[in-house]
Amino acid sequence: MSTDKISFEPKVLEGEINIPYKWTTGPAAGKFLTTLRDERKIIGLKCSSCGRVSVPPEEICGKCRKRNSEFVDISDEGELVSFTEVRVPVFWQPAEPPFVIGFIKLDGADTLLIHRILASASSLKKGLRVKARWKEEREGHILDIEGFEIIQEG
Amino acid sequence: MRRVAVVGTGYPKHKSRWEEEGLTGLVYLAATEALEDAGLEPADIEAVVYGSSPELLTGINHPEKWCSEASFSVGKPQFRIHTGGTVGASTGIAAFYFVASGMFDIVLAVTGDKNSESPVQYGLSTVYDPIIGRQFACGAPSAVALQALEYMYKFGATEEHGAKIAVKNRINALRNPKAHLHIEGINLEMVRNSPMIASPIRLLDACPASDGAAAMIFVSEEVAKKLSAPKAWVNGVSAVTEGVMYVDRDMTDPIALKKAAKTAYTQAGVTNPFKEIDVAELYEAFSYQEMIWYEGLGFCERGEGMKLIDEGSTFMKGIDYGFETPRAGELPVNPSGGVLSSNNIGSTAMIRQIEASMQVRDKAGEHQVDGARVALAHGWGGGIQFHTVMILGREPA
Repeated sequence: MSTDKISFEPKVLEGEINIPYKWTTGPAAGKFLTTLRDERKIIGLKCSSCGRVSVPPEEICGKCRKRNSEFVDISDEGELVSFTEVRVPVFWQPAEPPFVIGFIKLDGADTLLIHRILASASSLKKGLRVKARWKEEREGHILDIEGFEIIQEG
Repeated sequence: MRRVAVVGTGYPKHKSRWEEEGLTGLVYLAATEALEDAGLEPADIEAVVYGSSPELLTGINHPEKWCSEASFSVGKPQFRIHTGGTVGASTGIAAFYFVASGMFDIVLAVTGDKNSESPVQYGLSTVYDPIIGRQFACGAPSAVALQALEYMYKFGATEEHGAKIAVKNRINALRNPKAHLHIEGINLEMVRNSPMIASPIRLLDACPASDGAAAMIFVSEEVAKKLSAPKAWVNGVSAVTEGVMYVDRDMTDPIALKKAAKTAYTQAGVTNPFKEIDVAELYEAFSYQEMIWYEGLGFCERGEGMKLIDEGSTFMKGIDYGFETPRAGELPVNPSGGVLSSNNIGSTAMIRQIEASMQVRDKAGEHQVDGARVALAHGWGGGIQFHTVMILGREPA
């Protein structure tokens, strides 16, 4: 079935794809983001069936598969659950690598939020208390919170 | 449901960059090798299932269209499968469904990608939610780093366990001529000294990005009996999806994998997987994951995956890995070198099924597990979302 090989100089064509998009947030993420912007506040969605509070808000409960509509206020403080240092650059990152990201369990939430941790990885450990550092100029974006800082004890 | 057998498989050697072949050529090489292995002609194929990674990784939308001739699809039904890293396994499973359902007797499953053609982690980052989440993605390593750390915290696994898996699979790869990475002299020290990508994952704890392709031929029992090629009977198949909202998931407890394993074991009549399975090919894109998958597959209890590494149970018998492996050969995992040694995203999960079928067809050459009768192939992908399990047997279940 195969044919004889063609002798040739290996050749590549270079190109790129740069496409602009407009992503519709939907109601849950939409209200979450505008509340970050307008009220400097984190909100979550409470499932009417199981009572689980999700942050960022889950439009459809991850447990019950019901559509959620009851928003509740969440603290901008919580506990660092896990973290890692990012060293690989990608276009839309919040900072030049290396920087740290982590899972945060905010007070009042039953789920974990992934966000930037404003500290060096070597200074971190699981269970540290963290608090949001807000931007002054907010635009309705997850990065209206610059990141989470360690709350110094005492 | 009808019995189904794999009667032919093929994949060209995987490497960083195939300079002399484009995607079409790689798909053709894989498909023709599988046909020759089965003793079939292109005209015998009744339907084609095609799989590849998300399009932004290669910058070609609808690659299956451009590979219609190379995959012998012209004049036949052709379907594209798309489940992230799992896609190779999902493609094989879809082909199985086509034959098991009675719709077709001879189906080609084929996958391929040229992962050298773009920075893979850029494309991979686009699988994250653009509204909340993508900002913190750096591709797969960051997500799996969080998973690995959680596992270390919970159960006390160490970097040494990750390094031993990295060494095991790279040493195994030296006996698989088709594996991408052949790292002569690989040892624990080399893993420990390799650069950190996303703590605790070092470069040598991670899979490469490879150019490659893979193909399998699934046939009905009736056709299988007429062919002289050795058979791998598909005795158990399961694909399970986890919720996409991974934010409150325990990443060290792969519920979809547990469910997939249970279903496949029931179909195949496996009651004690560690004892009854002779060889397994798992989707360990990063070294630490292999231990988590052992637990999800029920090879051991939760939190005991590292025990199988400490005792060496999942190492090949008769190979010197540079450290003690007293129970080597009990259940060898990834004799092919695994994903840590070749990772052509579209084909990777299919290669698990190919390698598992090669083991029960006695076709694995230098990395053959002697007398393997029952083999397991696992697939993972879609941002910790999809798991697949296929059980292949030397005899039908």
